[in-house]
Amino acid sequence: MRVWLIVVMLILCTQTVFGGVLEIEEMKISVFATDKAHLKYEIKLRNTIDKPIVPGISELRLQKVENTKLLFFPIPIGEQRKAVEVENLRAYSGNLNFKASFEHFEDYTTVYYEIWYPIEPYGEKNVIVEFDADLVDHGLIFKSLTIPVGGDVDIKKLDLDINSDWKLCYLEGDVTSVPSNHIAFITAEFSILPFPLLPFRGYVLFWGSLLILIAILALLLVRK
Amino acid sequence: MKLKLFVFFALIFIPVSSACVVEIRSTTFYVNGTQEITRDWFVIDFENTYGYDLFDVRFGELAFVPVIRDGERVRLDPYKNVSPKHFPIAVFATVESFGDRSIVRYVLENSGDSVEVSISIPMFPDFISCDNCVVSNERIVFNRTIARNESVGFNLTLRRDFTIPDGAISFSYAGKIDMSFAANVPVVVEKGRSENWIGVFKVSNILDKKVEGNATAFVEFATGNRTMLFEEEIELEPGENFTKSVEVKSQLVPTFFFRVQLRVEDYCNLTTLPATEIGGRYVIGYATLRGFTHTTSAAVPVMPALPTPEIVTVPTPEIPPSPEMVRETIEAVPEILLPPPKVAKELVVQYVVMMIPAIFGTFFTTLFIPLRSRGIVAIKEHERFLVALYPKFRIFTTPSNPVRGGIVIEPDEELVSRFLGMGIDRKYAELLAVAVKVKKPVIALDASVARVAVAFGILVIMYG
Repeated sequence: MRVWLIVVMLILCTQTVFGGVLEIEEMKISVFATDKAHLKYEIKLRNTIDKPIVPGISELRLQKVENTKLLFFPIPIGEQRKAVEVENLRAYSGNLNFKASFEHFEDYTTVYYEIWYPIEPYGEKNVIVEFDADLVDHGLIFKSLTIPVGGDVDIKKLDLDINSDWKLCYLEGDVTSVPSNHIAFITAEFSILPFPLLPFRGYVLFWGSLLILIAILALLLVRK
Repeated sequence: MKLKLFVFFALIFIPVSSACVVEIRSTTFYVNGTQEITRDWFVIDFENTYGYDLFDVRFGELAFVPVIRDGERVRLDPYKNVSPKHFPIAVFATVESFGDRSIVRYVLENSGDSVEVSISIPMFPDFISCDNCVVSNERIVFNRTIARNESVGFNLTLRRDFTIPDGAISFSYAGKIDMSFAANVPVVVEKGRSENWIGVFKVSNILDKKVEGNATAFVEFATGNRTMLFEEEIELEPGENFTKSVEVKSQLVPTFFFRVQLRVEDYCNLTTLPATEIGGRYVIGYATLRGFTHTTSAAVPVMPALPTPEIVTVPTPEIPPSPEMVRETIEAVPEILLPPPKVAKELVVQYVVMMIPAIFGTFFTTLFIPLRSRGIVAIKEHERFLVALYPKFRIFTTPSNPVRGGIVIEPDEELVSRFLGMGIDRKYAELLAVAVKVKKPVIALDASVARVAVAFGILVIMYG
């Protein structure tokens, strides 16, 4: 598995670095991709110092990555990055709801959630942020989504659970932790066809094979 | 700045959970008596220890909770940001220089209730000794209880020119906030008959608090007619009863109704605490005490980390006192005019022979090869100028206001704070901090930004 672990400050939180005060001890991202993706972030925040800490405004940034298309065929050259439509956003911890909102920027969307209640010294707080997002790049036979994960705090443990009504045929980004100010991109591709889990993108294999077959047939016809 | 969090000594430990309502103010104190509060908000941490269930609980204007069961703990974030109010504490520092030493006199003035204040400054190279304070664990610590309208202080003996780093100041103010609730009290209605129907209405205050509200009684007959019997405002001390009987003359059998709305008007403890913002997070319990630089002989101007009145950005009814500069005036260095040296003709010829190919080389390189090693720092609003510069220049940019295609550099937050302290916008402060970091010129359209940049030795282009 190829891991994109790139320092992309553009997609990072605007908040300045201050590692060590607060960390995400555990983050579980559950995704269910149909026409849209339902994302559920289960975040365990941990105060790492002996003073109460208020997390304030935290961000999750989203970006839709679409393959360039020739007519309606996706081609593996270049990609477009766009802002993402977000619906049914909520952030909560038990029966306590947090203020949550989102904002669209030119080529990405930021989801905000606000926690102004202090986390006790060395204490923890579990926060759940969930929403529906127009993250899925739909094709005829394949659909894919890319999720950026990262921020201004260390994510010590990252669990990812991606499912769909179609079959998972490709998963990129086998990442289990993300340091602060880094971002990891996780890409999943699903197919309506019963492909096994492939080492590369299924649409490249499928459409590439089809084009080669057509070219061979055309060549044979010309020679006759 | 990072280490300050971890090496606190003798700062007052204030558990947030000891109060029912906590007001938190993200604050920076300056040594000219001013303070800057960037955010002021409330949280509620209430545990029902009354021994009975509470209904329709109101915490002043902050929050409403329908039910809090006996023993239940309610933690609420009412998202109540208020107009920042200043703490009734002011910190002043004055400097006196004698020979090779300076004495810094810190004075703390408290115009509020009596409060225990602790100041902690990390040890720094220019420190010699301190008076009325202690040095422990590599920190200079001052700890005192200050009565209302009292001033206390401590002195630091330092080298003549010095830089005092940012410190921490911790304290907490206690107060009260109104809280009211309704509780279950027994209500009894008795119906009797002699010549007339008699209704007896009774309320008993079994709570340990005074209750107040109103009581209304009705009588209704089988015909559907309803008549009010009385409506009274009542106040009952703990253990006190309210009883009233009413006679009703009717051949029909009446039904008596008694509606009682009683509330307990109480208060809960309010604790107001300072906080320090660090990268969007807030450490509760102490505020930043901004350090400063004092110089009497440096040729290069040193920017003191003191605020100008404009940077007390938050709306506040109080007018901050004008900043008291604790820096002495820099004396002008006398200009000495030297006659231009004569250069031998042989040296001039040699120089010209050497320089001609170099100039040609530079010219052609600049013309035909994109000089990617050259760079400029810009933000989004400068994009229209960058068309002319790209791709010959590398574009460095800030994460919060990035230029498309630019190399994003994380600015040093301490430097950003310093620029902010000089009264420029955050986006420009980050722009300048990145310029300092990558040592490249900036684009500045604003005169004040350009001036600050030039003062810090940053090249400014396309200004104006």
